[in-house]
Amino acid sequence: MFPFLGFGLGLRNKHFKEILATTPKVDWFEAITENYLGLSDTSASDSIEELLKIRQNYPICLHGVSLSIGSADALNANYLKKWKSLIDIIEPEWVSDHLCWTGVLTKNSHDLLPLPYTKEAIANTVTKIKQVQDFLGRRILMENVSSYVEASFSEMNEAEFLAEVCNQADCGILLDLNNIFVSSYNHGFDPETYLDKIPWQRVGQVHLAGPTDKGSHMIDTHDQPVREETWKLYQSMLRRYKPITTMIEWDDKIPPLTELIGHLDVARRFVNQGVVLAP
Amino acid sequence: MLLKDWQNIFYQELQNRNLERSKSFISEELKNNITETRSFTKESRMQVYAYAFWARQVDSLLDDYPVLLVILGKKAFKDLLKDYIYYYPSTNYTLAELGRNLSKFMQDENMPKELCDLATFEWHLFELEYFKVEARPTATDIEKGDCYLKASVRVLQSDFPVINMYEEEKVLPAKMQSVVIVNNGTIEYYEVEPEAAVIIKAIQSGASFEDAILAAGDLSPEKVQEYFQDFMESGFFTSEPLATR
Ligand SMILES: [Fe+2]
Repeated sequence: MFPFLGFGLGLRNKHFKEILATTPKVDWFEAITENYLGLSDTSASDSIEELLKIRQNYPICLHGVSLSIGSADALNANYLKKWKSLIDIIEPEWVSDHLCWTGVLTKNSHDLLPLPYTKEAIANTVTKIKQVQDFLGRRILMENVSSYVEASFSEMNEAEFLAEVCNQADCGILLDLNNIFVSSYNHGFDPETYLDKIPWQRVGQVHLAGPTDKGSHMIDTHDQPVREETWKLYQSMLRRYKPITTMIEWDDKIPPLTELIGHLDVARRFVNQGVVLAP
Repeated sequence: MLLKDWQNIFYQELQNRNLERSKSFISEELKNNITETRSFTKESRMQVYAYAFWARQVDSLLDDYPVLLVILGKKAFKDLLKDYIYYYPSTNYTLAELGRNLSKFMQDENMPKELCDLATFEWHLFELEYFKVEARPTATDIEKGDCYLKASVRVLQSDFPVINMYEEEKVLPAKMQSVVIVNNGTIEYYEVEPEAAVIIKAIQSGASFEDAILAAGDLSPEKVQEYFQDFMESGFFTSEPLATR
């Protein structure tokens, strides 16, 4: 469904100049959609020109945070229009967002909030994904989020919900292994049973990241190295399926580019040699 | 529970919990519909979301208004921002829009006029970063009549010296100041004469150059020429009509 792009990084402002100047050994970059949509009353901002420069040397995927696909509200037409224009300019390999909701009654929390895993939520989300895919004329990928709260009236577990939504909507999956680890820790389930439910042929991309350990729970902060438990899930994934396009997300206390590439090389080695090496 | 009810009570809980508020539940209905484990209670679970909700938005606004932050101090400014976010909740897909109504909220709260104007000034400096740099007109463009006010021009007429307050990071005594802010690749601001500000504002509201000049009162042809030369040199005009930008 989705080609193997290799090993990528999240594109962050801090590294822009260095990437342009040195063309580092990264196979592709993931850019945050909202960083290029401008304000509600502006057209394409100049940051798009910068992204296009990177695009000359690297494949780009667009990753959004504001689609709010699981909201009870209707989709935001202005957001969809701006997203589509950006896609037309950047021509990304694919586009993704999160299987969650970010707001309701037109208000935005700017956070990735948990859905109840119910048939009603499946129906709502599937309808919306289909609308988005029809509008964009392409298949999108939905990412599993980290969560801290679960609805007690859920009718299935998260992995079953994710699989059912993506199968019914015929969309791709962006599987975040760190998010699976964080949620499994916070809610006390076995992450391997999560992987058991995944329709692997739909998974186009994998996210890796490091959370903050609060003892009683994990917070998805993207400011730490990938944890041992998450690398184990990565190996488990490789045993279950073939190599999948992989990237590391690092959004806070961002290390130098060379260090990030070192972390990425761990994944690369798992795939190429099946050897475990420290970054 | 229906999806929309879950989302409504969840969002309400976030909005009603402040950063330093107690960790106890506000909505019993939400509390009765979520799970917990022994080590990670319902209260602390919801607090993770509440903290992220408030911290992300407040931090974003602190970055957008660096001088107001200095003048009001972190504690007072954060309190103001929390009230603002409560009364003007974000309705946009981007956090960049969040600060758009801060000055208006400060006016609603009867805060000193000079601080409201400084907020407006800082908002314009911030929002104009998002605009495309529009090409300046060449002599040929001007001859052909291809000369328009840039979309990235903002006019602020204040009873206070906002530019000086911004640069010196302090409140200053009243003194009228008219300011034009523009994106010329970097964000630039210029103090202009009040009549010049009237002309720019009139063009911005759709008046022809001729009508805009008339709106500014009885100006000599030399004065008008001087203003327009200044406007050109300061990069207020572009050869790109609005529709193509
Ligand atoms: Fe992720």
